Amino acid sequence: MKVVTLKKIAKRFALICLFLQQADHVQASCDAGRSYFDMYGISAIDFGNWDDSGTVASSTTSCIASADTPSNSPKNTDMQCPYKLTVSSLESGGDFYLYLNGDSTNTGSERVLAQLSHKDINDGNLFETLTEGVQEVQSHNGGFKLCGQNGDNSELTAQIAASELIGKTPGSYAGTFRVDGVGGDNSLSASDFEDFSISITIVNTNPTVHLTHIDDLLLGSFSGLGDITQEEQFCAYTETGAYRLTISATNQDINGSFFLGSSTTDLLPFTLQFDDTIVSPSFVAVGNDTLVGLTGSQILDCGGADNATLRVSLSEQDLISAPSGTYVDTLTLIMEPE
Amino acid sequence: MKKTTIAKICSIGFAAAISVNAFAATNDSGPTAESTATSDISLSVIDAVKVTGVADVPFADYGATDTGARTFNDSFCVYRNGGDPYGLTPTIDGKSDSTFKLYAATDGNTDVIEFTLKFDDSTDASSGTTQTVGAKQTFDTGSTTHDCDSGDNTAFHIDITEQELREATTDDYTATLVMVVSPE
Repeated sequence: MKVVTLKKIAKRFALICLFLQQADHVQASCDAGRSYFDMYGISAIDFGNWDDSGTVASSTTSCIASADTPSNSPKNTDMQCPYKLTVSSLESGGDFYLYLNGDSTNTGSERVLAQLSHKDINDGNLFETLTEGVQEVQSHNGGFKLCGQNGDNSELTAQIAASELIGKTPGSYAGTFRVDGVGGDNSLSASDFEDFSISITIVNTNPTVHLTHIDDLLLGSFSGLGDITQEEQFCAYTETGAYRLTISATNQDINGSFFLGSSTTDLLPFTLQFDDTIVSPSFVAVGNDTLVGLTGSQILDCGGADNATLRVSLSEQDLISAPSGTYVDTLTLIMEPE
Repeated sequence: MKKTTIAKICSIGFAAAISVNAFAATNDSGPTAESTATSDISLSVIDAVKVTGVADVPFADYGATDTGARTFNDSFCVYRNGGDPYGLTPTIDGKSDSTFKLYAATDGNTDVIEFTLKFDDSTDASSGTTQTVGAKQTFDTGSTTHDCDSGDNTAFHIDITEQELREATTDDYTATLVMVVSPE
């Protein structure tokens, strides 16, 4: 039989009391003294370009100091104390929305919803999904004053699901948010805040273009004198604002030269020029090469106007030597976005 | 004997049938990832001819001491688009005679000097084809430049026999040779 003496019982009781005393001392330290809570800058989260590459997620870490210096601490020793965060949108639309061009009046396909979650790196807790404007449930242990020890302890993660991004209007989306923190003691009596932004650019992976208002070039008849020049203005719509244009013709030769052809195979050379304006155009010669770096209208059908000019020219020298007849050619214009 | 002269009238003829193909420009129904449009260009080159460089024919006075026939050759330029065939039709302005004649100033109805006219598609028509009033002579190739590259490609040649000159009453004899150039 094992005999426990009173002396041993007394010793064990003393150890238990000491342990309880120490634990009570820690808690008491965050309840009294000089509460300290300070949040350090939170870096912006920029997802960059999104081009149908799935769900995106990115984190930003920062230091949140939540400490208390017990008034009875003989060496003014800091104690790490709890803190909690609340993340709110600074946009008028609420929730964790990012808005096209930062315009918070946008709705529908012109805003995207982000999901935010938070954890403290040092306390071992899992990420807690945040609700806009609602304080997180988990309480974390903050860093020491001035965050001079242990480095960053707060990790904020933003995620935007692919399903949220698909189908949205291409462009730059941004939202600004405020992180309000409370801590410094067990009653979370001290506070601080930091603002940060989240942004993403949805790349238009399938931009559209449209050529309209293109008519035939009816040059009439040549009766023996003068050059012939005729212009055709049309509309080049491009969703991106830029485009490239390839122009070919039925009778074009391998060198890119253009010819009108007659039913008897006579060829009549002409020059083809183009400019992406209609006012005082600075024409460039068209040949085999695709014309690149052109500027188009981002308004469908150019709002009913035109913004590009083709010019066909035939010299008198070539015309007078041409046999009589009807000369024709077909230009094919292929427009692609840039 | 008085001098004889021939003035010239030449004409440029046009004949054309303007044929324009149907409107066929196409614009796709976009917007799409790639937009295609077509535009048909059409031009009618109509028949065109132009004659330049024809000179007057100022025969010198023919008197008692003069002998022999009188001839004159004049070359000129006939432009024909495409270098295609052209025709030359000679007449005497204001006259309906079946032969070429110079007419006396005093009594042109009675006093005339006949002459022969030849055409050739070279610069010397002395060996050319003798012409009939109002009949068209065709040539295969005109010049493709308006001025025949500063040269000539056609000529007319006039012959007046000594007999015609001897038989003529003293007077001034003139006529205006009209050569109508037409596309063929």
